[in-house]
Amino acid sequence: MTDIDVIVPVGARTDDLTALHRRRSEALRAAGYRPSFTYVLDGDLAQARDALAALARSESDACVIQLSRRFGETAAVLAGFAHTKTEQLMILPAFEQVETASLGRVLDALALADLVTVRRHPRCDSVWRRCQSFVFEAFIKHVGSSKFRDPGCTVHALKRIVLEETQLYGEQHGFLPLLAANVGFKVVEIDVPQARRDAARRFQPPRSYVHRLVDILSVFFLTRFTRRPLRFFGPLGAACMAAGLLGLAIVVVQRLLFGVALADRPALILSSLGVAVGLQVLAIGLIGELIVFIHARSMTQYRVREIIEAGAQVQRPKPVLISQAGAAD
Amino acid sequence: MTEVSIVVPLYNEQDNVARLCAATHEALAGLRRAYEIVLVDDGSSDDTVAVAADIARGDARVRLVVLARNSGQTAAMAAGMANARGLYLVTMDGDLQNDPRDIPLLVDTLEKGHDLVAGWRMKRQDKLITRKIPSRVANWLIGKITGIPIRDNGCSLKAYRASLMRHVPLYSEMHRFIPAMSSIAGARIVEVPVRHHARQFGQSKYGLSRIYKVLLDLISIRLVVAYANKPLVWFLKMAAVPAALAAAFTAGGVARALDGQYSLPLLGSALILTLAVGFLVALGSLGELAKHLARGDVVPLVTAAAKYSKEDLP
Repeated sequence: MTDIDVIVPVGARTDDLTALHRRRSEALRAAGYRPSFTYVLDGDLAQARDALAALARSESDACVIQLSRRFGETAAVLAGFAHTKTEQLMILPAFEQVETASLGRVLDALALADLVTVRRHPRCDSVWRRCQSFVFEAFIKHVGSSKFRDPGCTVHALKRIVLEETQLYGEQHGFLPLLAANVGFKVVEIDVPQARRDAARRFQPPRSYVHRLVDILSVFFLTRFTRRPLRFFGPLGAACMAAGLLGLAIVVVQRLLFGVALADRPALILSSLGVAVGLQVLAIGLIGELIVFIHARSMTQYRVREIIEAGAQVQRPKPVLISQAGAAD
Repeated sequence: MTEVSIVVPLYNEQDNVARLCAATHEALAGLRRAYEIVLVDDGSSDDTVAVAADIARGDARVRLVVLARNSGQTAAMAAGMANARGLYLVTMDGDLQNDPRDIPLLVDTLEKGHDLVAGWRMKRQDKLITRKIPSRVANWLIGKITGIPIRDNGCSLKAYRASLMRHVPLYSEMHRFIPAMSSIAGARIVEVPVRHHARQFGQSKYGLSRIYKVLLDLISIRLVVAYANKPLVWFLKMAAVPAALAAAFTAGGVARALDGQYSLPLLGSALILTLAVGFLVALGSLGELAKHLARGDVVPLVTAAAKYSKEDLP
């Protein structure tokens, strides 16, 4: 039996937590693991709190953390993580997203990877929901260049070091696999059938789509350009400025050679705007480069696991600040 | 006391490790200097760690630094250098394409009073289209922009003074630009021709290099090294372009206004460009702030290089 700490961030969407807890606990025990669940209540959720309080009293393998207000799923996961001890961890949503019986298989896959992420497959969602997921996933795939196919699925099994070293961003921790892979961890994706209950969920408010979009953008920027901001701002600013200078050149040449009056042309304003905006974007990129350069020596991009030499084997659990986007950019 | 540290980043090199160590020992047998080999495992997924650990446990001259995850070649090199004890550092690829027999020559050259000795693969054994041509273009660009025409920035076989490397920030893909950065700062750099072999085992890990990234990185390195101590100057120079345009448009607009004609495009353009000048000055001040918040010297490279030229000449 291997001990496993399970972190469950509890937000607005929950199933019957008592029944779910028993099913999950049983499934993991059947697969040869000894789970202990940490529920993190993200905000003031009276109903879920009552259910969990009863659960924590009756079951020995459940504990509950109450956050003082709503901080978001990512913060909840990290708050739960601070209370865990085992080398291998699992993060599960507070509702049944994939078939509970397969959870053991997800943990088993951890033998070959640092993080195991799950794709809900086969799915039993409605056509409308599947269309939405398709668009969202295509976005993630191309904009964030992610090879993971189901960022909406928040079932993860991972080694402790992954959460210690990966900086999490955004509202959802669905991007954890992408961020972890970016830092250099080995991430695998396995297929697990979607739970029937998950398919029957209600319509999501428009706000959640805005949050998703913001997440996509921040992940896009943070995974690619944090080390080299000029790679992002440089081409953008240069293109803008080149367009502006070209426009200026055209109106000036037309004034000098063909006598087209310069002072009456709106194209002049537009070109000036191009030059001004282009320079500003470039300048922001350069400020970014300057900041990275100044702080480069305090941003170690690696972590030494151990040093092996004749005689002694030195363990070095040296805590170092890790930043994003090191290995892959 | 260890004089020479040979830093070798390894990524999936299980077939090469043992041969690499043997070849290095053989090459350095005549050197008559205390040396160590610092192997750095960069999160290999094969048996590299096991093979290298066996060697390291049985040989006092070999140390193995195991990284917790794959971190990239620059980071692996930085890790190796941080854990090396020698006065001179030699970096080398783990795939046996560099020849350890060149190491004594590099170290001797360093001793003659240079800060950095770069290897130059004169007869390069790689594919022409995917490797040699992009690297030619990249090297030409680096030479043009830094003014130091190093012919082979991509060659991993290089030797440095350890005290120089303590001052060079290694991040992103910076290992490629160590000579460029050091040269901008005034370090004494020489190039020596080295041998190069075709790959024997395993697969090559680098594809077609992306020229535009190299170009952007270079521009930023050049500017950052030159201006990191005076960001405001840098932004004032940038502001010269919109300032000149704004002045010209204002003059034109005022001249027309005196004629009794009111020109929105001229005055509007002048206004926009003046705002851009203000914005750049504000950003420059932000740069000054960032500089002041950083502790110590922002460009210690310059001081490091200047120090050597006085002390270390034979």
